[in-house]
Amino acid sequence: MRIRRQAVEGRWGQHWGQWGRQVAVLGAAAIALSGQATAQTKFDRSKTVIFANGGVVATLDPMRTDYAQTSFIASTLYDTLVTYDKGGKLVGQLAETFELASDAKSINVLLRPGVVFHDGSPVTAQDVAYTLDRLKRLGLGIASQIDGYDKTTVHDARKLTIRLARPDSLFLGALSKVYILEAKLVAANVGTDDAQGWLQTHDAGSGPYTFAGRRNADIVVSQFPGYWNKADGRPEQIVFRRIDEGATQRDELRAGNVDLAVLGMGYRDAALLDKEGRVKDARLKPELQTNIIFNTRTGPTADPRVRRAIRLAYDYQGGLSAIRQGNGVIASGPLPATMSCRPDLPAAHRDLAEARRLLAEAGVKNLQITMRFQPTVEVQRLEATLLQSNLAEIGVQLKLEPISFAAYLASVARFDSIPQMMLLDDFAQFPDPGSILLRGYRSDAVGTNRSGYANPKVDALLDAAKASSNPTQRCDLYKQVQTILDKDSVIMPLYTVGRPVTYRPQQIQTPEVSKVVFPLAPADLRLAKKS
Amino acid sequence: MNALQSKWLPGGVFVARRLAVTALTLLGLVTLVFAMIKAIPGDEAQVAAGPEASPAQVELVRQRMGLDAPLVVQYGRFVGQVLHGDLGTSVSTLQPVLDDVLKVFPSTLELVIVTLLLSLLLAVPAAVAAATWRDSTFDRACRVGAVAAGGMPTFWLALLAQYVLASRWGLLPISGQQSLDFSVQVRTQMPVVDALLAGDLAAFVDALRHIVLPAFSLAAFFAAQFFRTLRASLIAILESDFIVPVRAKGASFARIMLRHALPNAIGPTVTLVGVLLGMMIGSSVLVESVFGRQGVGAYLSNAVEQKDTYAVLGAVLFVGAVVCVSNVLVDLLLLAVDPRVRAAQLHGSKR
Repeated sequence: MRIRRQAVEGRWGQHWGQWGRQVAVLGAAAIALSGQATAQTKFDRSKTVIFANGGVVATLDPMRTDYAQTSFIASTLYDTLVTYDKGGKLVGQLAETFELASDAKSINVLLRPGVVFHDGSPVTAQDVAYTLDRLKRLGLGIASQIDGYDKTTVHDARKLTIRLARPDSLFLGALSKVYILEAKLVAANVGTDDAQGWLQTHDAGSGPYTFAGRRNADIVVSQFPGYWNKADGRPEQIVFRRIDEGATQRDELRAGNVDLAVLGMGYRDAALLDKEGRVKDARLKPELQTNIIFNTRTGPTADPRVRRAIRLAYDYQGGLSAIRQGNGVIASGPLPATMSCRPDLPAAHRDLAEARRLLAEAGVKNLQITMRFQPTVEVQRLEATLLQSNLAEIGVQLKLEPISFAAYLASVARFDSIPQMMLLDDFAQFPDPGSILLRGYRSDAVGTNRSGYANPKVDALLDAAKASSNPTQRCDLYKQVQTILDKDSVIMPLYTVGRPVTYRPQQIQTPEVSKVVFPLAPADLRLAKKS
Repeated sequence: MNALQSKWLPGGVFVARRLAVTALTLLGLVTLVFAMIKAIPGDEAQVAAGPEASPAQVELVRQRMGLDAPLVVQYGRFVGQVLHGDLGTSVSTLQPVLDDVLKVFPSTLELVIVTLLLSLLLAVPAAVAAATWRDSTFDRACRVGAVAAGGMPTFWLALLAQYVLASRWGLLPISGQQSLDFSVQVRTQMPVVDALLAGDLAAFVDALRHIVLPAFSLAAFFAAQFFRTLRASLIAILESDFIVPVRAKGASFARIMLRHALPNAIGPTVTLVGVLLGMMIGSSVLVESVFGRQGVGAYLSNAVEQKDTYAVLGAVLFVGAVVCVSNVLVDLLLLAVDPRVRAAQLHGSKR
């Protein structure tokens, strides 16, 4: 009987009453607590740039600047010893002078005087040594670019010598990716993980901006008043806002809620915005090239004539105008057209008759091949489909298989598991031709030589270039390598790719491409000049 | 057995049984996710070392992270760590996964709570009215609406709502969690709560405006499920025998509904809330992506993309634990308030 009565009456009413009272008490407590809150500084929108980018910022530790998202922010917080100017020339940043020894086994550096970290401590040779030693210890991220590092000899507060384990003319360029940490500050927060945890949310740099904090999904940096390299028009704050969806980036730009969008917006949306007029597309051309990488070791693509025939089948012009909205140029060689030391090679072109002849000469009939691509990259899906239809015209059946980048990296970790063909964007961490050629085509570069290409002559030329401290000689050697690679059709270069970078000209000046931060360095942004 | 034992023992046994099932569920979840993540092609050491790392560097990272051990050892090690409250280290942030998840979870929790409230706010009055005026035009319209809302992809609805309500009409913010004009101290990582704690009414309204569209996009599907369940339960209750004497005694419609029908009909809906909570957190990834919100969904999607094994495992386990705990709480709640459930669960009776 008791159960029945309770079923009819229910206890919900009683409990709702109790919960209501509890919620009221909690609400009152919240309001009471609110008096203790401290408001943060408000933004002057006219001097703030809101930078929308796709992808997560996993850490602010500059060791991970191999990821574009971390690189954007680290490049505002930190300085490097050297950097590349707009013309691709290596110039000093923290280094007042720098010199690669004639045997390419050491680099003498003299630091710029009067440069301080964000806490006011001077930047010293000891900080440079600490940074390089930490990278060597951890062996993660950008450390892969300086694997020839041995040790640093500190002569005094401003003079140091970086010593290499073997001759490495690329090392100097790689230093443009190594952001210098304040040794004393990092050592004080070293923890058990060499300060990786601390640096995830703190800065220990001397760059033009300091880390001002996170606001939910946003990361905010504020101008550092003590920065050594003053520049007019630098925004007071930059707010990095993660927006993955291109459509959301587009609408926020239109509404004036963000000032710049990179990594996320498609070519079509960017072109549409540019046409509307209030938002422009800077169409930056970074050191980026879209290639199809052949497996040169096994299968039908081991025959250079087959590779050449496939190269001649693709409709490069059609793909560039229809898929990339004309954003880029047709490739002419293994390196992006924006790089130096390139030989005069013809641009990729279509010649179906020659393609059929080469296949016949190779004795190949009813060829079936497989190409992997990343389905998350919309343009790759379209380009893969275009190639599929183009190859059908010369009797080649192309099977398309999606693959994630992580899975692709695992597949190239051994030469015997390299995919037959892979559509991939190739990017230079810094604009030295050797940074692409040495990792991409040396026969022993397992993991980064993604075609499995082996040619003793190319190895010898690359070794000679790496050991040479003479820029002219290196350039000549790199040109010889590229000519051989093109003749052997090791890869199928498609386009030196332009990247849509949409911005509001009312708020910022036209962004420019960066040679070391892909595709632009936020610290280089300048506010629009008000008339 | 004394009176005290006979009163509390069945409840204790039930709770112990429920907790044991929860622990087994979580262990099964860990095993399944571990097997799945290892089956996906990719190399965590390569991801951690970077795409341009040499084989020697990758091997060094592999040894340091213990990824060179056999899978069984890695699994055993992970389960051991979990028992000590350690969910492992992420290969992309290189930080303890638990710390990473705890940083982003409040944002998802805030979205889920608002979504839940919005779903119930939409579903309960509609279900009450639909059950009361059964087969009326209103009832039919609600049923059609529920089918449409239940079948609409969340991602598409989010994009549509964003375009029409925010981009075209400017009624609500397009994305983000708080406008730059408002800056309140971050205490809970939940902007609505932080604004409330700061006593900043304008910031509170602003944060609330930012969460309306994401919550609405997510709520449409769940509101449809709650509506259908509650409407069916209400119709059954309103037609049951015990309502007749209540009506005969001249009770008002409001009294019948609020004191008798709704309290007795809402049980299945409460159970459904517990069941759908996990799905709500899972679906949040799509909404977080469209509206540029941080959260555990976005964290998990990035971890899968990076083949960040321990981040995936840790985040799934964390979400799994939240869902399991909320299910236990829902069960205990039902047990406390519904004598029929109590009789069935504790005494084996189905009265």
